[in-house]
Amino acid sequence: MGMKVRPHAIAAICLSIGLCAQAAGTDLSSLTANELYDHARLAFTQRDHAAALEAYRKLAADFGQSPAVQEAIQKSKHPVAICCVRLGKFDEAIPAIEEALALQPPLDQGSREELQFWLGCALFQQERHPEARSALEVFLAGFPAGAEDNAFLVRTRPAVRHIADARLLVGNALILEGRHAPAAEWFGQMRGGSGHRGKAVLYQLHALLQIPDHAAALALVQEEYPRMAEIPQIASFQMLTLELGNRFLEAGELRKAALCFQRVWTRDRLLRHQDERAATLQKQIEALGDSPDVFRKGLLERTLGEIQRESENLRPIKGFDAALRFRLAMVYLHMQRYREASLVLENLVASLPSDVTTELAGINVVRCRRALEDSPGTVRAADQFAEKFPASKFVPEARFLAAESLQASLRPAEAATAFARIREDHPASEFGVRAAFNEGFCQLLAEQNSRAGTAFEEFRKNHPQHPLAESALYWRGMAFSMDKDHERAIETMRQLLKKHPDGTHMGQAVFRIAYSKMQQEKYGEAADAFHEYLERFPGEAENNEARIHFANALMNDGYMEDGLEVLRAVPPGDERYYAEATFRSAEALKLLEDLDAYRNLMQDFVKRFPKSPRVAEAIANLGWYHRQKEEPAKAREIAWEAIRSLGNDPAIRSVEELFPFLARLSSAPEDLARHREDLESLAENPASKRPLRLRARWALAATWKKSDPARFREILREAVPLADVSADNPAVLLDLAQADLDGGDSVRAERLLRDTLRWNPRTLVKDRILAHLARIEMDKGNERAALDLFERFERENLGSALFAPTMMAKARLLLHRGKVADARRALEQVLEQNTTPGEMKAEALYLMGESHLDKGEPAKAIPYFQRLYVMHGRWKPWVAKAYLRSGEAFEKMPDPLSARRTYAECVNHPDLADFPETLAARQHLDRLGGPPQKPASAPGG
Amino acid sequence: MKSFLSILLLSTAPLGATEILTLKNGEQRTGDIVSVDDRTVRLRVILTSSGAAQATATVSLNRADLANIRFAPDAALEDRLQRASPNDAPALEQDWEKARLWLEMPESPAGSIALALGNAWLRTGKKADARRALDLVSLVEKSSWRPGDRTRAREVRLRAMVASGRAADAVDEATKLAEETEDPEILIEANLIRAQASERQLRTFLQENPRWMEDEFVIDERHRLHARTLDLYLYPALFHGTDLARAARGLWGAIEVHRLAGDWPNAVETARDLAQFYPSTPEAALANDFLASLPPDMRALDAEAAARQELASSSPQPTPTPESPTEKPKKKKKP
Repeated sequence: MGMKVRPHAIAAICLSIGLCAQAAGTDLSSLTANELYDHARLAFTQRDHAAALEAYRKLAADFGQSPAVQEAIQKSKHPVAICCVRLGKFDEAIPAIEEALALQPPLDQGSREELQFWLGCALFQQERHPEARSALEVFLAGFPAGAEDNAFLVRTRPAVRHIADARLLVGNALILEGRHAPAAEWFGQMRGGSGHRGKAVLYQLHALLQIPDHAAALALVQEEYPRMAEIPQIASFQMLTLELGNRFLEAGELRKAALCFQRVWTRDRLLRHQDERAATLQKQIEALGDSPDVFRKGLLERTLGEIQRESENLRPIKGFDAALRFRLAMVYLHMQRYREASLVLENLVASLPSDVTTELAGINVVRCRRALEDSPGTVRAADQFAEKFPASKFVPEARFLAAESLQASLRPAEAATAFARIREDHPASEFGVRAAFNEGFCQLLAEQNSRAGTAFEEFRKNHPQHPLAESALYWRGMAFSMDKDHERAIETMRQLLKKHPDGTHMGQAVFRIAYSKMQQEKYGEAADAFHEYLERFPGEAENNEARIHFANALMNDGYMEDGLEVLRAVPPGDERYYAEATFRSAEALKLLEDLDAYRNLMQDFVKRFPKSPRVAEAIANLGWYHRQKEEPAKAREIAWEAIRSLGNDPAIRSVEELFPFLARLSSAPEDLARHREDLESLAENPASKRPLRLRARWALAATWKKSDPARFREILREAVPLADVSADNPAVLLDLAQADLDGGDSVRAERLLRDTLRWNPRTLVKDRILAHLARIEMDKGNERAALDLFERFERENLGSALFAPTMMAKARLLLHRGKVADARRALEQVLEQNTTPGEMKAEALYLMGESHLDKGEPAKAIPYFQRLYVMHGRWKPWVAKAYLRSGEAFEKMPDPLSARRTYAECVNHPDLADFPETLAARQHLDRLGGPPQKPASAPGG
Repeated sequence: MKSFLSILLLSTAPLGATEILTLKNGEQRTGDIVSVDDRTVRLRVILTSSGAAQATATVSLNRADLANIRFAPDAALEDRLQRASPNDAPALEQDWEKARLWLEMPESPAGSIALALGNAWLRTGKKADARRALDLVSLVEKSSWRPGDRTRAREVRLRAMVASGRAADAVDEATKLAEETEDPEILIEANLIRAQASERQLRTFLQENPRWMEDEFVIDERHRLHARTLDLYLYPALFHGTDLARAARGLWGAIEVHRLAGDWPNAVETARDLAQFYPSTPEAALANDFLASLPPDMRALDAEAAARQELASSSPQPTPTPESPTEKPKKKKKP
């Protein structure tokens, strides 16, 4: 957007300083010279400039040759010039002013100054800019610096009040002459003064943009925007700032562009600001009323007019905010700062009506959130986009990105469902096609192998030429493999090799064929296939895995040496497979009875990978070796050496496994005593740092666990101050906490448990920790907190061995709190678990039955009681209870016959005689009239 | 509610600081206010002025007849209102004592004075002063004649609530305001308060879950807190970049969150934003110190330079395009 200086503004300056007079209706032709002169003067005094001018001109025309009138003619030059100015007749004003200024004797200083100013204005109006500038510079030169702030000068030389306007016009003339650099300098100087400061800022910025001097323009923006509210035409200032920002954006000066864009207000805010200013000015004008200070009033009115005109120009510009926000977003997008970009674009979408711009902004919000890996943000943005722009061509992409983010958040089942919907809704879109592929892939991730295979097959059928068709065939084969359908896996991979001989999955397909053969226990074919794979596809990611399988295939077929040779090719750089290869080799060497090689292999592994999780296994193997050599002391020595050298590093978790190994080597009483002494001295040794001292104490405690549980607990409790929850093995920490719990210090135990969980969120002992914490909360009477912990246990420990007992505890608590429905859900979970002990299932069934009976639902209670005594007859106490309650339930239905049968079963049960419930059942049976009669036998039977 | 209709005796200094009282019938009276009560204003006016001698008289006006009051220009007062520094507080208290009775009277500066005093008290950093500020600006919010003062008072009240130890209330209030208001200053302050609260929650979360990245059950919560905190801190600079102080505060808050997350590239870029956009703020100095403390390889990160290179070579593609997943599934079925 450019800034145009409007010449009519100058007219407004000029015209605001006077009133236009209406022409009088006098017939001038009948007047004498004196009468004409007097008439003209009167009209001039009354500010009827048209009438005055007419009269003066008539005087000059009719009586200009008369010597007697010359003085009057001379005196009329000044008012004639003023009248021309007031009437806006600038073409006539110029010669009139020049004539007046040339008068001898000259006019008074005030009149000359006034006329000099208006000469400049008139020349400006006539677009004679260089001359206008000269005239105004002459005018300005007649005043000392700071004249406009000098109260005495203001009073004695009224033309002082034109100084600011004159300066403004000089600067405008420079701009219109195309001399932008001097104009910028001129306005820069003007900014230091008090008149028209705001306009000076505006014009200086415009001039700097025209030069162009963007650095100076930016400096001006930075300097002035804190005082921006003082600039009357603030909207114009901000438009220029926006333009400056655009230029920086095009030049790649992104931060400078952002600096500009961030300083531009929204259209509504600008209009609100200007409306408030206009209202304030209006009040000020009204407050002046009929004040004689017409100059101030005129200035206020002029400013008000400018503000109102600017607002009227801005109001219809609907796309202002969108343009601004988009540009700011582009800055951040270019810098890949997706968070900032998405925030700006989200604001744009939320605050503006739907159109092409907001549509584009909306899809970019989705893209940005996806780039940030913000899954909830991506899904939310995609949903909002689809809702706001349902017919947009970008909808498939938005939904695709949302589904992809679910996949990236490890929620493959949800992602598969989302991709399926995209595939169904947008079959023709490329994103719909990709969604079809991703649907299958996510189903694989979710272990829905059969469905994945179908999805890939459908994809290939529908899109045989698509670039992903090869991948679809490969993953089809993988789906078979994961479903253990190895024959079809092989067949599919062969099909892939035939159809796509130069494809990207060649090596992987050959590997999978070999692998499938291995799974089919066709070791000879598998070995050949792995050999082919390694020959044809060296350097692929699966190479080392292939070597392991290859070696296994060879060894399974009896080719031990060949297998060992293959295993030796696995490089140490691939620690995972190197460890695998090492221990497989160790097994083979054991079979070959090459014990020295076995020893060397294990020693080498310990040396290379002291921090490996399998170090303890290696040391245990070395221990086995030395026991074979009848050197148990050596075995112990190796383990102790490892403990001393590795034990001070808590990150080497396998150290904990060495202590039980040592303990097994020290099972004889004298060995055990010495072992305890060794552990004591390890714990007390000054060379032992904290982790090793803790480990030593833990191991020492373990030696007392069975023989002296109190001592076991005491040693562990004494070791608690040594613990560092951020570093130590959670299994050790749990033992310490358990000791505290058993020893009655639940406060310290709770702290230790909570801290252990904080620092080890994926620990294998999470279930025990949560179960303990729940118990602690229950003991404290914090039932709500206990329930929260139970719920967390349930969420995070589905396969835990403690699941059933923990859910039982939860169910009991819920029943206690009257939350019967929730309690039943927990009991159902207990019953569903395969690992739930029988007695616990019996209890669960009993509680289920009780819960229904308590609710007055005897018919629902009975099946549970019956299930208990039919399927869990081993647990006699519960069986007795179940019989009794079942009978009571039948009575409540009422079904007295079934009740009597049930009571009779209980009473007659050989193993239930001693239970109080059986006695109660007998009493009920007697009350009901004894056991029911058996039906009579059929005749002839 | 404190009655502001108590009698107030003012100094009888020579007429110099002149007030202009406009009556409801349009007439104006100019003079020095001598005293005010719930019904009457006594004004000392000049009758004649000849040389050094002034003839004055004291007139009584009904308060109910007043339309508005304009105080005489007072450059020193204007300076104090602009600065509102802790050192100005005693003088502002006196200004407030003089002006408080006019809080509801149109054109009076009482609201502005009260807000400046409130800000000055807040800047002392003392809780007791913050509580006084809270009471004062609450009065302005309720009673000032000027809508702008009442709006400003809401924003100052938020800060006063935080400073006086009522951060939780401030957050609730801020959340409500953020939904209701369109006023930029209130929105910015409300969002900054919410950002600070969110940051506290994030820090508490990280203390309680130091290994959150290993815990699939809390990862989403961490991402949610992290994203929300950053979004709130970035708000002032992105949408109200002319509010220097708050925009700078927000950017510094964002830098701290990036550092907390170990996201050094974004911390560096945001620090550069702060230093270049708001160089005169104290936060810019902090940003410069942070940049200077970084090792050379981190200081060398420059997203703008990289973007400029890319712009120079081709049109950028800001849209992340979906890639076909050729990698194996993470979970592998055991044979």
